[in-house]
Amino acid sequence: MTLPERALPLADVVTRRLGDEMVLLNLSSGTYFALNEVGARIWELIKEGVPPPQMIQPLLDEFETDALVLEADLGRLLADLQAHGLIGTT
Amino acid sequence: MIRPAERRPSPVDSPNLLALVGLLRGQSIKVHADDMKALMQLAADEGVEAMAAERLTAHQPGSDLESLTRKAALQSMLLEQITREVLAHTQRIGIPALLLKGNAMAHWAYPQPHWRACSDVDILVPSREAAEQLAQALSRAGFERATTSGALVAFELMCTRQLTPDWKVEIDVHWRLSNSALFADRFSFDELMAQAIPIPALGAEARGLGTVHALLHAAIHRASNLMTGMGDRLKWLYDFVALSQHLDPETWLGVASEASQRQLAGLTLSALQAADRRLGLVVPTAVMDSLERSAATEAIDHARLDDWQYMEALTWHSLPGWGIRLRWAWQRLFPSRDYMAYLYGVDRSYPSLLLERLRRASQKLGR
Repeated sequence: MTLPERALPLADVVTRRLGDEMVLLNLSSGTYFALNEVGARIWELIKEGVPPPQMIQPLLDEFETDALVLEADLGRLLADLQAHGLIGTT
Repeated sequence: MIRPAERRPSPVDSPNLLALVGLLRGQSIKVHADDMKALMQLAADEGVEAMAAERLTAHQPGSDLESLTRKAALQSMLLEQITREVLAHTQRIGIPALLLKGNAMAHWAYPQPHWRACSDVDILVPSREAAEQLAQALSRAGFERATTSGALVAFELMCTRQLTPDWKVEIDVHWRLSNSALFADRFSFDELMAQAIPIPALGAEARGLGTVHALLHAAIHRASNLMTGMGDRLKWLYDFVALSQHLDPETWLGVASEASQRQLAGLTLSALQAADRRLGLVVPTAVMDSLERSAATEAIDHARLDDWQYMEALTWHSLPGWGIRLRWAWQRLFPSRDYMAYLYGVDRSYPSLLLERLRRASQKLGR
Protein backbone atom coordinates (compact mmCIF):
# COMPACT_ATOMS: atom_id res chain seq x y z
CA MET A 1 0.00 0.00 0.00
CA THR A 2 1.37 3.41 -0.99
CA LEU A 3 1.25 6.00 1.73
CA PRO A 4 -0.09 9.45 0.90
CA GLU A 5 2.53 12.18 0.85
CA ARG A 6 0.60 14.41 3.22
CA ALA A 7 -2.21 14.00 5.74
CA LEU A 8 -3.93 16.83 7.58
CA PRO A 9 -6.73 16.82 10.15
CA LEU A 10 -9.89 18.51 8.88
CA ALA A 11 -10.96 21.75 10.54
CA ASP A 12 -14.13 20.52 12.21
CA VAL A 13 -12.52 17.53 13.87
CA VAL A 14 -12.03 17.74 17.63
CA THR A 15 -10.10 15.27 19.73
CA ARG A 16 -9.78 14.19 23.32
CA ARG A 17 -7.12 12.02 24.96
CA LEU A 18 -8.52 9.22 27.12
CA GLY A 19 -5.54 7.52 28.72
CA ASP A 20 -3.80 5.69 25.90
CA GLU A 21 -6.76 6.16 23.59
CA MET A 22 -7.84 9.12 21.57
CA VAL A 23 -11.41 9.96 20.61
CA LEU A 24 -11.98 11.91 17.39
CA LEU A 25 -15.22 13.62 16.52
CA ASN A 26 -16.19 15.21 13.23
CA LEU A 27 -18.55 18.00 14.26
CA SER A 28 -20.12 18.33 10.80
CA SER A 29 -21.04 14.70 10.30
CA GLY A 30 -21.22 13.54 13.91
CA THR A 31 -18.85 10.70 13.01
CA TYR A 32 -16.57 9.61 15.79
CA PHE A 33 -13.61 7.33 15.98
CA ALA A 34 -11.64 5.86 18.85
CA LEU A 35 -7.95 5.26 18.27
CA ASN A 36 -5.81 2.87 20.29
CA GLU A 37 -2.38 3.79 21.64
CA VAL A 38 -0.61 3.43 18.28
CA GLY A 39 -3.44 5.17 16.43
CA ALA A 40 -3.37 8.01 18.97
CA ARG A 41 0.36 8.47 18.37
CA ILE A 42 -0.22 8.49 14.62
CA TRP A 43 -2.86 11.17 15.09
CA GLU A 44 -0.38 13.28 17.05
CA LEU A 45 2.11 12.93 14.20
CA ILE A 46 -0.60 13.94 11.71
CA LYS A 47 -1.33 17.02 13.82
CA GLU A 48 2.37 17.86 13.95
CA GLY A 49 2.34 17.83 10.14
CA VAL A 50 4.68 14.86 9.77
CA PRO A 51 4.32 13.38 6.26
CA PRO A 52 3.10 9.75 6.49
CA PRO A 53 6.23 8.21 4.93
CA GLN A 54 8.27 9.92 7.66
CA MET A 55 6.07 8.51 10.43
CA ILE A 56 7.43 4.99 10.05
CA GLN A 57 10.74 5.47 11.83
CA PRO A 58 9.48 7.26 14.95
CA LEU A 59 6.71 4.68 15.27
CA LEU A 60 9.21 1.82 14.91
CA ASP A 61 11.29 3.48 17.64
CA GLU A 62 8.31 3.64 19.99
CA PHE A 63 6.42 0.42 19.31
CA GLU A 64 7.61 -3.11 18.81
CA THR A 65 6.48 -4.02 15.35
CA ASP A 66 7.68 -4.98 11.92
CA ALA A 67 8.23 -2.17 9.39
CA LEU A 68 6.12 -3.80 6.68
CA VAL A 69 3.25 -4.53 9.03
CA LEU A 70 3.43 -1.01 10.40
CA GLU A 71 3.39 0.55 6.94
CA ALA A 72 0.38 -1.52 5.93
CA ASP A 73 -1.46 -0.66 9.17
CA LEU A 74 -0.62 3.01 8.78
CA GLY A 75 -1.92 3.02 5.23
CA ARG A 76 -5.16 1.33 6.31
CA LEU A 77 -5.66 3.74 9.20
CA LEU A 78 -5.09 6.81 7.02
CA ALA A 79 -7.57 5.46 4.46
CA ASP A 80 -10.12 4.84 7.23
CA LEU A 81 -9.64 8.31 8.68
CA GLN A 82 -10.09 9.83 5.26
CA ALA A 83 -13.17 7.74 4.54
CA HIS A 84 -14.71 8.95 7.81
CA GLY A 85 -14.03 12.59 6.97
CA LEU A 86 -11.43 13.08 9.66
CA ILE A 87 -8.38 13.88 7.54
CA GLY A 88 -7.54 15.06 4.07
CA THR A 89 -4.66 13.46 2.15
CA THR A 90 -2.66 14.24 -0.95
CA MET B 1 -31.01 26.06 34.95
CA ILE B 2 -32.39 24.75 38.20
CA ARG B 3 -35.63 22.90 37.91
CA PRO B 4 -37.74 22.25 40.98
CA ALA B 5 -37.64 18.48 41.08
CA GLU B 6 -39.34 15.63 42.78
CA ARG B 7 -37.35 14.92 45.90
CA ARG B 8 -34.73 12.38 45.04
CA PRO B 9 -34.95 9.26 47.16
CA SER B 10 -32.32 9.42 49.82
CA PRO B 11 -29.66 6.92 48.84
CA VAL B 12 -29.19 5.57 52.33
CA ASP B 13 -25.72 4.15 52.25
CA SER B 14 -26.34 1.14 50.07
CA PRO B 15 -23.36 -1.09 49.24
CA ASN B 16 -23.32 0.43 45.77
CA LEU B 17 -23.26 3.96 47.14
CA LEU B 18 -20.43 3.04 49.48
CA ALA B 19 -18.52 1.50 46.55
CA LEU B 20 -19.15 4.57 44.42
CA VAL B 21 -18.04 6.96 47.15
CA GLY B 22 -14.98 4.77 47.72
CA LEU B 23 -14.07 5.07 44.04
CA LEU B 24 -14.44 8.85 44.14
CA ARG B 25 -12.24 8.93 47.23
CA GLY B 26 -9.59 7.10 45.22
CA GLN B 27 -9.92 3.75 46.96
CA SER B 28 -9.24 0.55 45.09
CA ILE B 29 -12.68 -1.00 44.80
CA LYS B 30 -13.50 -4.35 43.25
CA VAL B 31 -17.02 -4.69 41.92
CA HIS B 32 -18.63 -8.02 41.16
CA ALA B 33 -19.84 -8.28 37.57
CA ASP B 34 -23.45 -8.80 38.79
CA ASP B 35 -23.36 -5.46 40.64
CA MET B 36 -21.70 -3.46 37.86
CA LYS B 37 -24.89 -2.41 36.06
CA ALA B 38 -26.56 -1.12 39.21
CA LEU B 39 -23.40 0.64 40.33
CA MET B 40 -22.98 2.41 37.00
CA GLN B 41 -26.67 3.37 36.98
CA LEU B 42 -26.19 4.93 40.40
CA ALA B 43 -23.05 6.68 39.13
CA ALA B 44 -25.05 8.05 36.18
CA ASP B 45 -27.83 9.25 38.52
CA GLU B 46 -25.23 10.97 40.67
CA GLY B 47 -23.51 12.54 37.63
CA VAL B 48 -20.17 10.82 38.18
CA GLU B 49 -20.40 8.03 35.63
CA ALA B 50 -17.26 8.89 33.62
CA MET B 51 -15.12 9.37 36.71
CA ALA B 52 -16.36 6.09 38.21
CA ALA B 53 -15.86 4.25 34.90
CA GLU B 54 -12.28 5.44 34.53
CA ARG B 55 -11.37 4.64 38.11
CA LEU B 56 -12.97 1.20 37.89
CA THR B 57 -11.15 0.51 34.64
CA ALA B 58 -7.88 1.46 36.32
CA HIS B 59 -8.52 -0.71 39.40
CA GLN B 60 -10.29 -3.51 37.63
CA PRO B 61 -9.02 -4.01 34.07
CA GLY B 62 -11.47 -5.78 31.81
CA SER B 63 -14.54 -4.17 33.37
CA ASP B 64 -15.51 -3.09 29.85
CA LEU B 65 -16.53 0.45 30.74
CA GLU B 66 -14.53 2.21 28.04
CA SER B 67 -17.65 2.92 26.00
CA LEU B 68 -19.10 4.95 28.90
CA THR B 69 -15.93 7.02 29.07
CA ARG B 70 -15.95 7.57 25.31
CA LYS B 71 -19.59 8.64 25.41
CA ALA B 72 -18.86 11.13 28.18
CA ALA B 73 -15.84 12.46 26.28
CA LEU B 74 -17.88 12.92 23.11
CA GLN B 75 -20.61 14.76 25.01
CA SER B 76 -17.98 16.97 26.60
CA MET B 77 -16.39 17.69 23.20
CA LEU B 78 -19.75 18.67 21.73
CA LEU B 79 -20.47 20.95 24.68
CA GLU B 80 -17.03 22.48 24.30
CA GLN B 81 -17.80 23.42 20.70
CA ILE B 82 -21.17 24.91 21.63
CA THR B 83 -19.48 26.90 24.40
CA ARG B 84 -16.95 28.26 21.93
CA GLU B 85 -19.78 29.21 19.59
CA VAL B 86 -21.66 31.03 22.37
CA LEU B 87 -18.51 32.86 23.43
CA ALA B 88 -17.87 33.89 19.82
CA HIS B 89 -21.33 35.50 19.83
CA THR B 90 -20.59 37.43 23.03
CA GLN B 91 -17.41 38.76 21.42
CA ARG B 92 -19.16 39.64 18.18
CA ILE B 93 -21.76 41.74 19.99
CA GLY B 94 -19.22 43.10 22.46
CA ILE B 95 -20.61 41.72 25.72
CA PRO B 96 -18.28 40.65 28.53
CA ALA B 97 -19.18 37.20 29.79
CA LEU B 98 -18.21 34.70 32.44
CA LEU B 99 -18.70 30.97 32.18
CA LEU B 100 -20.31 29.41 35.23
CA LYS B 101 -20.77 26.06 36.93
CA GLY B 102 -19.76 22.62 35.74
CA ASN B 103 -19.04 23.47 32.13
CA ALA B 104 -16.47 26.04 33.23
CA MET B 105 -14.98 24.07 36.13
CA ALA B 106 -14.68 20.95 33.96
CA HIS B 107 -11.97 22.67 31.94
CA TRP B 108 -9.77 23.91 34.73
CA ALA B 109 -10.65 22.28 38.03
CA TYR B 110 -10.93 18.67 36.84
CA PRO B 111 -8.10 16.48 35.54
CA GLN B 112 -10.25 15.55 32.54
CA PRO B 113 -13.15 17.73 31.34
CA HIS B 114 -15.48 14.81 30.76
CA TRP B 115 -15.17 13.76 34.41
CA ARG B 116 -17.57 16.60 35.22
CA ALA B 117 -20.90 15.65 33.70
CA CYS B 118 -22.77 18.64 32.38
CA SER B 119 -25.29 19.18 29.67
CA ASP B 120 -25.83 22.95 29.73
CA VAL B 121 -23.81 26.07 29.08
CA ASP B 122 -24.25 28.63 31.85
CA ILE B 123 -22.99 32.08 31.09
CA LEU B 124 -23.18 35.28 33.14
CA VAL B 125 -23.47 38.68 31.50
CA PRO B 126 -23.64 42.11 33.16
CA SER B 127 -27.32 42.93 32.76
CA ARG B 128 -30.80 41.86 31.65
CA GLU B 129 -30.30 43.93 28.50
CA ALA B 130 -27.01 42.17 27.70
CA ALA B 131 -28.72 38.81 28.26
CA GLU B 132 -31.46 39.81 25.83
CA GLN B 133 -28.88 40.89 23.25
CA LEU B 134 -27.04 37.58 23.53
CA ALA B 135 -30.27 35.56 23.41
CA GLN B 136 -31.26 37.42 20.24
CA ALA B 137 -27.85 36.73 18.68
CA LEU B 138 -28.19 33.05 19.55
CA SER B 139 -31.71 32.99 18.08
CA ARG B 140 -30.39 34.41 14.82
CA ALA B 141 -27.72 31.69 14.83
CA GLY B 142 -30.36 28.97 14.97
CA PHE B 143 -30.85 28.42 18.70
CA GLU B 144 -34.45 28.27 19.90
CA ARG B 145 -35.61 30.68 22.57
CA ALA B 146 -37.20 28.85 25.49
CA THR B 147 -39.51 30.27 28.08
CA THR B 148 -38.26 30.85 31.59
CA SER B 149 -40.28 31.72 34.66
CA GLY B 150 -40.89 35.32 35.71
CA ALA B 151 -38.02 37.79 35.92
CA LEU B 152 -38.18 37.84 39.73
CA VAL B 153 -38.01 34.05 39.95
CA ALA B 154 -35.29 33.34 37.40
CA PHE B 155 -32.63 35.83 36.41
CA GLU B 156 -31.87 34.11 33.15
CA LEU B 157 -32.92 33.68 29.55
CA MET B 158 -32.70 30.32 27.92
CA CYS B 159 -31.93 29.12 24.41
CA THR B 160 -31.75 25.53 23.26
CA ARG B 161 -30.43 23.51 20.35
CA GLN B 162 -31.03 19.87 19.52
CA LEU B 163 -27.48 18.53 19.43
CA THR B 164 -28.18 14.83 19.16
CA PRO B 165 -31.47 12.94 18.92
CA ASP B 166 -31.57 12.60 22.71
CA TRP B 167 -29.81 15.78 23.81
CA LYS B 168 -31.20 19.29 23.60
CA VAL B 169 -28.46 21.50 24.95
CA GLU B 170 -29.52 24.54 27.01
CA ILE B 171 -27.73 27.83 26.98
CA ASP B 172 -28.66 29.61 30.20
CA VAL B 173 -27.85 33.29 29.94
CA HIS B 174 -27.80 34.67 33.48
CA TRP B 175 -27.61 38.26 34.57
CA ARG B 176 -27.39 37.40 38.26
CA LEU B 177 -25.18 34.78 39.88
CA SER B 178 -28.13 32.88 41.32
CA ASN B 179 -31.76 32.44 40.36
CA SER B 180 -32.72 32.59 44.00
CA ALA B 181 -33.58 36.17 44.92
CA LEU B 182 -32.06 35.36 48.30
CA PHE B 183 -28.56 35.06 46.81
CA ALA B 184 -28.86 36.86 43.48
CA ASP B 185 -27.22 40.11 44.51
CA ARG B 186 -24.37 38.89 46.70
CA PHE B 187 -21.83 39.72 43.98
CA SER B 188 -21.87 42.24 41.17
CA PHE B 189 -20.74 41.24 37.70
CA ASP B 190 -17.77 43.61 37.95
CA GLU B 191 -16.60 42.07 41.23
CA LEU B 192 -16.72 38.62 39.68
CA MET B 193 -15.02 39.74 36.48
CA ALA B 194 -12.20 41.36 38.47
CA GLN B 195 -11.27 37.95 39.93
CA ALA B 196 -12.06 35.92 36.80
CA ILE B 197 -9.62 33.36 35.48
CA PRO B 198 -8.87 32.46 31.86
CA ILE B 199 -10.03 29.09 30.56
CA PRO B 200 -7.74 28.59 27.56
CA ALA B 201 -9.25 25.18 26.79
CA LEU B 202 -12.42 27.01 25.76
CA GLY B 203 -10.75 29.75 23.75
CA ALA B 204 -8.37 32.66 24.18
CA GLU B 205 -11.12 34.95 25.48
CA ALA B 206 -12.92 32.42 27.71
CA ARG B 207 -13.20 33.46 31.36
CA GLY B 208 -14.66 31.70 34.36
CA LEU B 209 -15.21 32.58 37.99
CA GLY B 210 -12.05 32.83 40.06
CA THR B 211 -11.36 29.95 42.43
CA VAL B 212 -12.85 31.61 45.52
CA HIS B 213 -15.96 32.78 43.67
CA ALA B 214 -16.34 29.40 41.96
CA LEU B 215 -16.36 27.68 45.34
CA LEU B 216 -18.83 30.13 46.85
CA HIS B 217 -21.03 29.82 43.77
CA ALA B 218 -20.94 26.03 44.08
CA ALA B 219 -22.11 26.45 47.68
CA ILE B 220 -24.93 28.81 46.60
CA HIS B 221 -25.89 26.35 43.86
CA ARG B 222 -26.00 23.54 46.40
CA ALA B 223 -28.22 25.61 48.70
CA SER B 224 -30.61 26.25 45.79
CA ASN B 225 -30.64 22.54 45.00
CA LEU B 226 -31.38 21.63 48.59
CA MET B 227 -34.16 24.20 48.64
CA THR B 228 -35.81 22.72 45.55
CA GLY B 229 -35.49 19.19 46.88
CA MET B 230 -32.77 18.00 44.51
CA GLY B 231 -30.51 16.91 47.33
CA ASP B 232 -26.75 16.46 47.33
CA ARG B 233 -25.76 14.81 44.05
CA LEU B 234 -22.23 13.49 44.19
CA LYS B 235 -21.18 15.50 41.13
CA TRP B 236 -22.00 18.73 42.95
CA LEU B 237 -20.19 17.63 46.10
CA TYR B 238 -17.22 16.50 44.05
CA ASP B 239 -16.92 20.05 42.68
CA PHE B 240 -15.65 21.06 46.12
CA VAL B 241 -13.04 18.32 46.02
CA ALA B 242 -11.96 19.34 42.52
CA LEU B 243 -11.81 23.02 43.50
CA SER B 244 -9.90 22.22 46.69
CA GLN B 245 -7.03 20.91 44.54
CA HIS B 246 -6.53 24.51 43.37
CA LEU B 247 -6.69 26.17 46.77
CA ASP B 248 -3.57 26.93 48.75
CA PRO B 249 -3.83 27.86 52.46
CA GLU B 250 -3.97 31.56 51.66
CA THR B 251 -6.78 31.15 49.12
CA TRP B 252 -8.69 29.01 51.61
CA LEU B 253 -8.56 31.92 54.02
CA GLY B 254 -9.86 34.08 51.17
CA VAL B 255 -12.84 31.72 50.91
CA ALA B 256 -13.60 32.16 54.61
CA SER B 257 -13.21 35.91 54.46
CA GLU B 258 -15.29 36.39 51.31
CA ALA B 259 -18.00 34.01 52.58
CA SER B 260 -18.20 35.95 55.81
CA GLN B 261 -18.30 39.33 54.06
CA ARG B 262 -21.10 38.18 51.71
CA GLN B 263 -23.16 36.48 54.43
CA LEU B 264 -22.51 33.12 52.80
CA ALA B 265 -20.50 31.52 55.61
CA GLY B 266 -23.29 29.21 56.77
CA LEU B 267 -24.10 27.70 53.42
CA THR B 268 -20.39 27.42 52.56
CA LEU B 269 -19.73 25.68 55.86
CA SER B 270 -22.65 23.33 55.24
CA ALA B 271 -21.40 22.48 51.72
CA LEU B 272 -17.84 21.82 52.87
CA GLN B 273 -19.06 19.66 55.75
CA ALA B 274 -21.24 17.64 53.35
CA ALA B 275 -18.31 17.17 50.95
CA ASP B 276 -16.14 16.10 53.88
CA ARG B 277 -18.71 13.61 55.18
CA ARG B 278 -19.29 12.06 51.78
CA LEU B 279 -15.99 12.44 49.97
CA GLY B 280 -13.42 13.16 52.64
CA LEU B 281 -12.77 16.74 51.56
CA VAL B 282 -9.95 18.21 53.60
CA VAL B 283 -10.39 21.84 54.62
CA PRO B 284 -7.96 23.69 56.89
CA THR B 285 -9.30 23.77 60.44
CA ALA B 286 -8.83 27.53 60.69
CA VAL B 287 -11.13 27.98 57.69
CA MET B 288 -13.87 25.79 59.15
CA ASP B 289 -13.56 27.56 62.51
CA SER B 290 -13.80 30.94 60.85
CA LEU B 291 -16.84 29.90 58.79
CA GLU B 292 -18.50 28.51 61.89
CA ARG B 293 -18.02 31.76 63.80
CA SER B 294 -19.37 33.85 60.92
CA ALA B 295 -22.27 31.47 60.27
CA ALA B 296 -23.47 31.94 63.85
CA THR B 297 -24.07 35.64 63.14
CA GLU B 298 -25.93 35.19 59.83
CA ALA B 299 -29.67 35.46 59.24
CA ILE B 300 -29.88 32.12 57.40
CA ASP B 301 -29.84 29.01 59.54
CA HIS B 302 -27.61 26.76 57.45
CA ALA B 303 -29.05 23.67 59.11
CA ARG B 304 -32.35 24.45 57.36
CA LEU B 305 -31.21 24.86 53.75
CA ASP B 306 -33.38 21.89 52.75
CA ASP B 307 -36.47 23.31 54.48
CA TRP B 308 -38.12 24.89 51.45
CA GLN B 309 -40.83 26.68 53.44
CA TYR B 310 -38.20 28.32 55.63
CA MET B 311 -36.12 29.26 52.58
CA GLU B 312 -39.12 30.62 50.66
CA ALA B 313 -40.07 32.71 53.72
CA LEU B 314 -36.52 34.08 53.87
CA THR B 315 -36.68 34.93 50.17
CA TRP B 316 -40.01 36.71 50.70
CA HIS B 317 -38.56 38.80 53.50
CA SER B 318 -35.41 39.57 51.51
CA LEU B 319 -37.40 41.28 48.74
CA PRO B 320 -37.59 45.06 49.08
CA GLY B 321 -41.22 46.09 49.54
CA TRP B 322 -44.68 44.62 49.19
CA GLY B 323 -45.06 45.38 45.50
CA ILE B 324 -42.07 43.22 44.54
CA ARG B 325 -43.01 40.54 47.04
CA LEU B 326 -46.49 40.20 45.56
CA ARG B 327 -45.14 40.10 42.01
CA TRP B 328 -42.61 37.46 43.08
CA ALA B 329 -45.34 35.37 44.73
CA TRP B 330 -47.53 35.67 41.62
CA GLN B 331 -44.66 34.58 39.36
CA ARG B 332 -43.90 31.65 41.69
CA LEU B 333 -47.51 30.53 41.83
CA PHE B 334 -48.60 31.17 38.25
CA PRO B 335 -45.74 30.76 35.78
CA SER B 336 -46.46 30.87 32.06
CA ARG B 337 -47.94 27.86 30.27
CA ASP B 338 -44.81 27.37 28.16
CA TYR B 339 -42.59 27.39 31.20
CA MET B 340 -44.67 24.80 33.03
CA ALA B 341 -44.86 22.64 29.91
CA TYR B 342 -41.07 22.71 29.73
CA LEU B 343 -40.66 22.17 33.45
CA TYR B 344 -42.96 19.18 33.66
CA GLY B 345 -42.14 17.81 30.22
CA VAL B 346 -45.78 17.70 29.10
CA ASP B 347 -47.63 19.81 26.56
CA ARG B 348 -51.04 20.49 28.06
CA SER B 349 -53.50 23.34 28.49
CA TYR B 350 -52.75 26.08 31.05
CA PRO B 351 -55.42 24.90 33.55
CA SER B 352 -54.17 21.33 33.29
CA LEU B 353 -50.59 22.43 33.93
CA LEU B 354 -51.70 24.52 36.88
CA LEU B 355 -53.40 21.44 38.30
CA GLU B 356 -50.16 19.53 37.83
CA ARG B 357 -48.34 22.33 39.66
CA LEU B 358 -50.91 22.20 42.46
CA ARG B 359 -50.52 18.40 42.70
CA ARG B 360 -46.76 18.74 43.01
CA ALA B 361 -47.07 21.56 45.54
CA SER B 362 -49.40 19.40 47.67
CA GLN B 363 -46.88 16.58 47.61
CA LYS B 364 -44.19 19.01 48.67
CA LEU B 365 -46.36 20.35 51.50
CA GLY B 366 -47.03 16.81 52.63
CA ARG B 367 -43.35 16.16 53.18
